[in-house]
Amino acid sequence: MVAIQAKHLCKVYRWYARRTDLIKEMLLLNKKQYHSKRVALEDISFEVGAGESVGVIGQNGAGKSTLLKLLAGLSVPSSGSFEVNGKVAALLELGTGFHPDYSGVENIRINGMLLGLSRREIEQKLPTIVEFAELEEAIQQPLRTYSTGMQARLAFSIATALQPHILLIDEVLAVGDAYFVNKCIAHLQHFINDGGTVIVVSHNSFLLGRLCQKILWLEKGKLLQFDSAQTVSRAYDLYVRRLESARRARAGLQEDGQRWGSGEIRVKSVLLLNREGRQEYAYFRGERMVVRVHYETDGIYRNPSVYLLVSSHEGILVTSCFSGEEPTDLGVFQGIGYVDVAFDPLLIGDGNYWLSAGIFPHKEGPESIYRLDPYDYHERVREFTVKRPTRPLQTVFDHPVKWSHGCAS
Amino acid sequence: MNKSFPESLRGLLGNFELIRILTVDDLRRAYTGSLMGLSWILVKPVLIVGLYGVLFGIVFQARGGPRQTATEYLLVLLAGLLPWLSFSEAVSTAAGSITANTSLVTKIVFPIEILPVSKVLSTMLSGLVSLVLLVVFLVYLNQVGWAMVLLPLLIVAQLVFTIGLAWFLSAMNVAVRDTSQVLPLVLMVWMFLSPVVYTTEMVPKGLAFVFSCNPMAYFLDGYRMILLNNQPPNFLIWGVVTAMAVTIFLTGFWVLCRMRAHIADFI
Repeated sequence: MVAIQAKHLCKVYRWYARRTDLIKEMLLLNKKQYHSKRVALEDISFEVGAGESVGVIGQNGAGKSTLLKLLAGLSVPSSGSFEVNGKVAALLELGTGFHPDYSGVENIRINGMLLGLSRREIEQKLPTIVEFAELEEAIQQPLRTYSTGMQARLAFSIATALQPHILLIDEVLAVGDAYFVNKCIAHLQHFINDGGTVIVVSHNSFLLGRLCQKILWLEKGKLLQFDSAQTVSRAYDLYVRRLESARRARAGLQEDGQRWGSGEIRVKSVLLLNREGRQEYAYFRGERMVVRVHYETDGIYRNPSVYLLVSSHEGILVTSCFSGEEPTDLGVFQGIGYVDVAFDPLLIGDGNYWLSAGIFPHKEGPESIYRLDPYDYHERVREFTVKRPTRPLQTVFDHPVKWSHGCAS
Repeated sequence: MNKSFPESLRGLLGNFELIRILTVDDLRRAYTGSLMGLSWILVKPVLIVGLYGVLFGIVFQARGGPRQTATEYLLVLLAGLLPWLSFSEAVSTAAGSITANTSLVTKIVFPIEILPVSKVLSTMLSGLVSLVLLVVFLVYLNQVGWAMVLLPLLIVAQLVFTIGLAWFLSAMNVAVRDTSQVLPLVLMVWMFLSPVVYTTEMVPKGLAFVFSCNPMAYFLDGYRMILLNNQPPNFLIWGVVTAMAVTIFLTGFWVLCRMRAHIADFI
């Protein structure tokens, strides 16, 4: 059985230069148009069977939320049509219509009514809602005393109590803590197993991969791919990585970091190269990343020290390397040239990072670099992203480990 | 969302429970958490009536007729001012009821026509309290008669009229936010063009036709006839009042229905 069938769905938002134009168009019965157009969705056709779970993925502004709004009936398609078989519930935002001064129970009653439950149904489901939200103790307290996570739990519980055939969810699972998200996912999986249909919008390809059988990929309002979750999430990850990389390469040397030094040897540019030797600024963990530091100098210098520092956007110093501390001889620096530093494999975890690079005078002995005045030190010269190919946990570092299994008996 | 006009109208009745709960919720939001609680319902009308009473009754010495006493004028004033206040208060708060609930409109499937209705109901209920007190006062003065049974009818007509206006204005306010700015001014002008601080009989003959175009003049005349003269309003009043209520109600709903599909995109 088909749960949702969309045929050539288009949504064009009308852009009115003046607000009065809207009224003119709405109330005057003539056919004159007073607006310009912005396309949000273009010719989207797809079919979702009952009991299927489909993820919708795409960049910001790809039209994901618009699609969900159309399916929920909150907005009307400009052209094309869709058919929905069964009762639809949409969870587009957690806690719509919550009032901070009311207790949890009162909020359940009012919110349930807003979502279309009758009084009887609410009273019937009240214990289940409270239980699922795990709020037995706080349920009589005013909502303003709740943490964000508690509110998210309550809102999700109410929405699932609607017992729809088709559930539309927009990015709301991003709010709760890991425990609750897992609980929600388990609940949704249960819902799917019972024959329910779920459409989830998210940026998170990992979450969608876990929850959905198929993923629909939207890009600038167009349907790019609609296939098995695994296929699409891989393709999407790769695509995002390329975009990120291209953006970083275009950005060139960053100017917002400080730069200082005596200038005998100057850092000309810093490039990140992938396995194929091409510029790349987004990596999967475990790949090979080479930092190429180009220098220029007017003199001749023997074995100067090169220093690299990787720091996360949150300010955590993640890792650093200093050739002066190691028994490395980089040889003679003269004219222009470059030094390659290979991170192979790259072990740092998910996140966005800054790279700082510097060239220091050669010094004998175990001298700290902080006692040295650099020839040139360029703070935060490059930005790059590391993505973990599997779990989206935000660890700074994934330590390599060895596994073994022993039998106790 | 794409329901036809009569279908939506029927749907309104089906949402009775939701309207009730939202109205109660509105009242609670207005009065819980404030120091004086429910007494606010009375403070405002008492203050305004006192102000107008002193200004027009004592300073201007306004009288309905040559032999009218200050107390009699006060009653005339009350019988006009209280219905007017509940009307203007309801219209001005309900006009913003859709724009104030953006998330209900854009995030959940929700019959938005309910928002202005519950707002009008909650403000008019507050207004009703002072009207009831006026009736009690009249009972004390031994001035009430059997015409009083018609009062609820007039109130319902006013309610229907106000809801229609609220639908229209709240839909307008989505497109033109100035609506809520301009509205208080319009209501002020409207008030002085309506027989609120004076009676229709005091209007000079030359201006009489201006007042005959004002629907609120018929409502206020009706209130005064019932409350003060113990006289059922004449057919002209009933006719105009009913016709206005029904017309505005249906027009307002039609406008909201026409705009509803676009409100979520535009808000």
